[in-house]
Amino acid sequence: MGLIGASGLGLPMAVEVEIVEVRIEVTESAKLAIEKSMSDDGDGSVLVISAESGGCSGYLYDMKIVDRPDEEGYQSISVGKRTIMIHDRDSDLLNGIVLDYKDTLMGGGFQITNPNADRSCGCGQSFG
Amino acid sequence: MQTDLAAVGSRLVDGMNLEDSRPTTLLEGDGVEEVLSSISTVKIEPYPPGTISRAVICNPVGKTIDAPYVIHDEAGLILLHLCQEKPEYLSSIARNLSKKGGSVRDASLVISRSFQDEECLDQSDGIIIQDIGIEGSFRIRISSDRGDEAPSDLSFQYFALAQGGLTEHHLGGRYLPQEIGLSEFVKLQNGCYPGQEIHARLDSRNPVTKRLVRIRCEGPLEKKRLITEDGKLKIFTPFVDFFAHAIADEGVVDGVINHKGIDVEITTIHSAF
Repeated sequence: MGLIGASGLGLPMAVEVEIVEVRIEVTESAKLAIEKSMSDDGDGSVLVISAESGGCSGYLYDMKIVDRPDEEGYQSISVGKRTIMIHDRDSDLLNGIVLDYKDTLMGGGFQITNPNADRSCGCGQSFG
Repeated sequence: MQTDLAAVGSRLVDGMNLEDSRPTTLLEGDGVEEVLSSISTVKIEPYPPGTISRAVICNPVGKTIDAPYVIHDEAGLILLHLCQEKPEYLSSIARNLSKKGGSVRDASLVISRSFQDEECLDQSDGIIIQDIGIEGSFRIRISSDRGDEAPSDLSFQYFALAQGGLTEHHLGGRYLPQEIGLSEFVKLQNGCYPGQEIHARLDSRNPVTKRLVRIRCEGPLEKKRLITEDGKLKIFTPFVDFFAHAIADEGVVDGVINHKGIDVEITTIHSAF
């Protein structure tokens, strides 16, 4: 028997995460890159963009091509024939982002500009 | 009138049971250790219930925000925060945990923690963090009950300054962990965490040589910065009953120095609690 045991679920929440309706902007180059990246994937595949804790500035961006998640709590954004999904828990952090793609040999790839970020890492993958 | 310093010490070990009212939270859900490790200077391993770990959370420029004790419990990880208010970094943890059905809960009402000495140690159920304090003669008792011991009227500020505890003056993003007695918890192998770039750069180019010391001084000091023959001391806490904390240069050695006719005793705090 631990200090708290099963009664932990009865404790009040210390932190509530705000949920907002997500709007994002995807540039033409990013749309083409998404199409290209997902060309071998079926219609059931989606691009999930998320913010995980960690990185040098507090949060890390993550992008994954996965089968459409079964669980609730995701918001869908149509980009051409493809779908981007963002979890409700990330909605306030990722609302308003601009997803771009840079085709350069160094520092290229998908780039995210986030109006909610006070600071970001030089590599562009972490923000806070 | 000279103060009997032995008497000051004896007040600390006279049946002490000092309640610590700083916030306590419960992280519950899958992968709590991994989520906490992602922002901590040290990796939190999935240890059995009852085990105690320590996390140190820094801001992106490597300065310390919090250094909670982490109690591994059946319900999740219990964080005993050292900052006075519920810290903002909890929202990042809550966000990650809640995607998998977990949450961050306020455990302050069900967890009690107190500083005790050997004379006053409550033998009832609970978890004990042993040998804290400069002489290692105190303990932290964590329990889900309130205990029977009468609370001490000793102030937290006094106890922390006298025994090497961290207070609001040490935290809040003001000092590197290495400067406030937390060097042992900076592990660059943990990978990318807020502040890691700074810690890594310091480690390879300019290792931190400053350290946390306790100052004991009976007279009034005119300045917050003392310059000794061997280096500088920056006093950054108020004096409470002759005790304060300072950050000392490497050259400053433990012992008594005389500063403009006033004796100042310097003692290194190797591991702050």
